Amino acid sequence: MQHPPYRVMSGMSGHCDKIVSGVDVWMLRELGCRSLVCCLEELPGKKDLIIDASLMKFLDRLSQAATLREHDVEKIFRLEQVPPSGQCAQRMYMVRSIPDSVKFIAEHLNHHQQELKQEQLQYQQKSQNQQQSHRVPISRILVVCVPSITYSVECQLEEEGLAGGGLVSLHSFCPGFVPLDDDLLTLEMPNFFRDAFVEGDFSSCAGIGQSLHLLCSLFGAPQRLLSHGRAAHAVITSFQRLRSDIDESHHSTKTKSQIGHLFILDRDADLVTPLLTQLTYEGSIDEHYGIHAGVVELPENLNPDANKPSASKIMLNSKDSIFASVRHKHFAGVAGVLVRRAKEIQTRKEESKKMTPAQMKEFVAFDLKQLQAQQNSISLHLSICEAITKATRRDFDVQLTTEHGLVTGATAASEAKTYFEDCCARQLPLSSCLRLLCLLSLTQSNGLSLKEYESLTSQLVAACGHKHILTLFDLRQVGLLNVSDSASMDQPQSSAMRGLRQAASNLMSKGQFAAWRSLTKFLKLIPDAEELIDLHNPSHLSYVFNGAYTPAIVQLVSQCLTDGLQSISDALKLIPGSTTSFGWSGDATLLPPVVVVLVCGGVTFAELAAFRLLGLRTGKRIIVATTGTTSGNKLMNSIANGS
Amino acid sequence: MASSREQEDYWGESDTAPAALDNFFDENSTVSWRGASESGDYLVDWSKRVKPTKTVPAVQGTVVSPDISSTSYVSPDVSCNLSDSILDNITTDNLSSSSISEGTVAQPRGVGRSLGSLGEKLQDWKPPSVKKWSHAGVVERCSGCSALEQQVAQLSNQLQASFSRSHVAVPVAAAVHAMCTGQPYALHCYRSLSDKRELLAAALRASHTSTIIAVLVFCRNTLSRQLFLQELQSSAVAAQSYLGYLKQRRQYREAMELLQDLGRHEEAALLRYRQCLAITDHAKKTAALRTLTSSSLSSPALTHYKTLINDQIDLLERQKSIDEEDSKSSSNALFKEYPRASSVYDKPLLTTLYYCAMYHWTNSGSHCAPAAFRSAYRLTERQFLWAVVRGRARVKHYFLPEQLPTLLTTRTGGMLGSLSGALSAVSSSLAGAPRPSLPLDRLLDALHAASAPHAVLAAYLSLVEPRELRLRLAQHYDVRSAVVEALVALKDKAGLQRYMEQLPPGSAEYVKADAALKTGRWK
Repeated sequence: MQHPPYRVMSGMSGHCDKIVSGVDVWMLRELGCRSLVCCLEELPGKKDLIIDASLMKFLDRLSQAATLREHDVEKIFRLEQVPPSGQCAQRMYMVRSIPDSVKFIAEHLNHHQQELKQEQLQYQQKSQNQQQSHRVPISRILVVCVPSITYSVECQLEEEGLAGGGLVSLHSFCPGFVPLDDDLLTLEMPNFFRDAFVEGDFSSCAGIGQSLHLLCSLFGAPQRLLSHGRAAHAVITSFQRLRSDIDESHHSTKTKSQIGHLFILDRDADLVTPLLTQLTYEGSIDEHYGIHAGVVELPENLNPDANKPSASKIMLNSKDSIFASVRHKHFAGVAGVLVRRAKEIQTRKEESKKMTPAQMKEFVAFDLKQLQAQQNSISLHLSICEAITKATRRDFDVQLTTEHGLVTGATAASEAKTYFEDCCARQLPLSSCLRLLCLLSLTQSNGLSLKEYESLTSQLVAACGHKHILTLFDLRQVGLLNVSDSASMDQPQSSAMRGLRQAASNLMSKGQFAAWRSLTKFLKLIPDAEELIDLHNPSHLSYVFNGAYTPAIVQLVSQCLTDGLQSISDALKLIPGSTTSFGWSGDATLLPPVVVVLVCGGVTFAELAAFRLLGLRTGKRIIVATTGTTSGNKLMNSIANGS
Repeated sequence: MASSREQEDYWGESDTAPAALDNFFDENSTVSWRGASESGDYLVDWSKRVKPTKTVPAVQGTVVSPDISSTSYVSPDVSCNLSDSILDNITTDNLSSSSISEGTVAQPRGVGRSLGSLGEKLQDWKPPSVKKWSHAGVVERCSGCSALEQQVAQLSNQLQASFSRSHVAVPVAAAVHAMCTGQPYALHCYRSLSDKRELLAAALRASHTSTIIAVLVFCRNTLSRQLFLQELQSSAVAAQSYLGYLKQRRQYREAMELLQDLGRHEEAALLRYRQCLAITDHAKKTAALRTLTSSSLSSPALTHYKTLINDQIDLLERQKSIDEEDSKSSSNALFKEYPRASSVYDKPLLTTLYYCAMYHWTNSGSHCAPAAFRSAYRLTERQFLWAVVRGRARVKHYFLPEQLPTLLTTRTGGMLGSLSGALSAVSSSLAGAPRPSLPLDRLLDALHAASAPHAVLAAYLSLVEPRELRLRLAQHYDVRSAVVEALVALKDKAGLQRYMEQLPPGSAEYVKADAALKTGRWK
C-alpha cells in the first residue's frame, strides 16, 4: 500500500526543548503519530472517525485534528450507543479491545441499514419526486483495536454476524508510549489497574510489551533488566517474544543501547503510596482537580483569562519553567517560592527602566516576552495554591496525622477507626473513606479482624450506598483491603477473603498480612523518628510524605541502583508475582546513565517527585513509563465504577 | 462463478478435453449449463459430442420432474432445460464449494471425481448432485462397476489424507506462538486430552490472556464439563481469565454456574447481586433481591451480606413510599422553600436520613421520622447525630450543644427509647458537662458552612479545649464574643486590648470586653 508523504511531521520535534543524555523521548511521539497515519491510510478515502472516549486524550497528545483531516477524516465522533450522524460511506472506529465496543458498532450498523431501508421505501412511495436520498450506504468499516485485537473481540464480531464478508474488518494499532514530559511516558490505559488486578485480565500487557519493544527499537535494548510482578511478567514475556521474532528475521543492525537499566514493576508492589494524600504541588493539583494525560481542568474561577469565564484546560509540563521549578516541591513551600520569583521578575522589569536604548532594544527583543509569560504563570499558580488551600478541609491535619500515624505506627488503630467512622457519618466522598479504610487494613499486622471489617463496612455502606458491597469485595481481591480470615478459616469463603493478590503471592501462609510491615523493614521505607527530613530542600525520598514514608517502588529502584540486585531479593519475595532479571553482573559504571522504570497500573505524582530526586541524587536520568498517572481517588473510583 | 466470457474460452478450448481431474475442479464454475443453454450454440456443440455415447432413457423420466424444470433458472444448483434431449435435461452441479459442502449425495460426486480425464471417460460420466437422480438411478446403475467404486474409495481416502495433512497438528509451542502473535491458527486438531492440557499449559506460560481464553473456550467446547472444571481448578489464572471472558461477553449465567461449581459461592452471590442492581423496576428489583437473600446467601458464612442486603430491601421500600408521598404532597411548605434536588430513591441510607431530617422532622412515629431510621438500621449515635444535625442545619434549625443528647432520647419513641436513653446518659455522664460525642472542630465547620448564627457557634466554641485552640477557631470563624471570652479565659490582657481596637465601640462584644478588663483578675 502506498502511503502519502507525512506532511505533518515538520515542526513536530520542535516540542522538544532539550535532549538529555541522548534519549529524545519526543521521538516516540513522532513515531506514534506516523503509525497513526499509517492506520488512517488503511482505509483510504474519505471517512468518519469514531473514537472511544477513553482514547481521546491519548490521541490528542499524539497528534492534532489537522493531521486527521489531512488524511481524509471528515468528522470525528465519540463512541456512544447513539449512532454517529456522519455522512461518509466509510467509517473508522478506534476502540479499546473489548466486546462492548463491537456491540456498539453492530448496533450502529443495524440502525444505519434500517434508516436506509426506510428512506428507500419513502423514495419509492414518491418516486416522481426527484429528491436524492441523502444517506449513503456504508461501504466499509474498519475497526481499529487499541492496542491489539483480542479473542473476545473477534468472537463478538463473529457473533454479530459481521466477521468476514468484507464490510467490517479488524485492524490493530499499537501507538506505543506517548511522552508527556522529558521524563514521563504514558500509555493512557485508565482501566488497566481494574482490568488486571481486579478482574485478572492481563490482555493489555501484550500491548505494553509491544510498546516497550518499540521504545527499545529506538533507544536500544536495556543492558540490565529487572521485572517483578504479574503484569510485569506478562509484559516481559510479550516483549521477549517480539524481540526473538525480530532477531530471527533481522540478524544485522542492532541499535546501540542507550538504556542502562530497565525496571518493570506492578502497581500492587506498593498499594500504600496511592492511599496516602499527595503533598507535592503537582500531587495536590491532582488530588483536587485531577490531572489526566498531563492536562488539568481548572474550575471557572481559576481561569487565567478573565474575559472567558469558563473551565480552562492547562497543560502541565516542564515547558513552563515556573511550574517546572515548583511542581515537585512540598506544597507548603510553593507559595513562598512563587512570591520570590515574582519579586525577581519585578526587579528585572524595574531595572529595564534605567536601561540605555540599546540595552532596552535587546531586553524587549529577548527577555520581555519571556518575563511576561513567567509573570502570567506565577499568577496562575498562585491562584491555584490559594484555591487549594481554601478547598482543603478543616480536618486536613487530623487526616494527615492519622495517615502518617498509621504508616509509622504512631497512631493506634482504634483512634483511626474512630476517625474513619466520623468520616463515614459525615458522608465524605467515597474515595476518601475507602482510602482511609484500606490504609487502616494494610498497616495493621493482621489486617482487619472479621468483626471490625463487618462493623466498619456496614457504616461505609450506609454512607455511600449498599451497592458498594461489590466495591469492598473488589478491594479485597486487589489486596487493598486486608481482612484476617483467622475466624473464618474453616469456612468456604476464606479463599475468596484472601483475594486474588494473596492467591498469586509467593507466600500463601497466614503471615501474608504482615507482608507490608516486613517490606517496610527490608526496604527501610519508614525513616527513623529522630531523622530530620527537610521538606523544602529535600535530600530524603520520603519528603513527599512529610518524612513518614518512602514510596516503595522508588526505594526498590534506588536500592537496586546503588547496592545491586541482591540487596532487594528479600523484599521481592514479599511482593506478589515472579522475577525476571538479566545483565546484573559486570561493571555498572560502564552503563549508559539512563534508567527506564515501567510501572504497570499507574504511578502517582508523589512517586514521580521522588524519582526526580533520586535522579538528582544518583546523577542518572530516570524516565518513568506507565499505563497512566494515577492517584488514590482514581484507583478507588475505577474500582467503584466498575462494580 | 466465472463470467460467460471465460466460459466461452474454456469450452472453446475443450474440443480437446481438460487434461486432468484437478483441472476440472479448479474451474469449479465451468460446468454451469445455464449460459450454454441460454445461448444454445455451445449446447449444440456439447451434445454433438456426447450424444452418441449416451443413452439413458430411464433417467429422463426419473429426474426431470416438472417442478424442477420450472425452477431451473432460479435454483443455483439445478439448471435444466425443457428440451427433449436427455443431455438437455442433465442437471449439473456447478461443483462450487457450496454445493459440495452441502454434502447432499456422496456417490455422484465420487463418480465425478473418479474420472481421470473428462474427454476419455465422458461416456461413463453421470452428472452429480441431484437428489432424485442419485436415489433413483446412479447407485443401481453403477453397482456393476466395482472397479470404479474402488477407485472412488481410493481417491476419497487420498483426499482425506491430504486434508488432514494441511491441518496437521503443529507443535503446541508453535501454535501458541502463532496465537500470541496474531497469526492464523487452528485448534481442532488437538484432540487428545493431553494435547489440550499441553496447549493450556503453553498458553499459561506465555501469559497471554487472549490466547489463554481462546484455548479455554476451545476446551469448553470439546471437553466434558467435569474435565473442563478440572482444568480450571488446577490453575487460578486460567479460571480468572475465563471468568473475566464470560463477564466481558455478558454471559453471566454461565459465570455464576462456574463460580458455584468452583466453590466460590461468595462471588457467585455477588455476581447475582450485581445483576439485581441493574434492574430498574422497583417491584422486580426488590423481588430479585429477596430471592437472592433467601437462596444464594443462606450459607452462614455470608450472613454479613444477608444483613446488609435485607437492610437495602427495607430501605428501598421505605424510600419508595417516601418518594411517592412527597412527590404528591404540596402541603409541606418546606418543599417550596427548599425544593427537592432529586428523588430520594436508591440513595444511600444516611442521605435518606438527612433528607427526612430536613423535610419530615415533625412526622414522629411515621416511617419517615428520623428516629425510625435509627432503630430500623441499628445506626450508631455518631451516624444518627451527624445526619440529623446536618439535615436540620440545612433548613436553618440549629441545635445547641445541650440539645444534642436529647435528640437521642426524647425523639426516639417506642421500644428503643429506653436503650438509647441509657446510651446518651453514658455519653453525657462521661464528660460531666453536656459534651456532644461529635468532634467539635468538624461540628463547628459544618455549622459554619450551614451559616449558623454566631450565638450557636459561640455555644460550641465555649466547649473547645484547650483555650488556645478555642481562640484560634473563634478567630477563624470570626465569632467576636467567643474571641473575647477566649482571650479572657487565657488571661491575655494585651491581646484583649488589641482586639478591642478592632471592635466598633458600643457593640455588645466591646462592652463585654470592656467589662472584663475592668473587673477581671489579670496577670
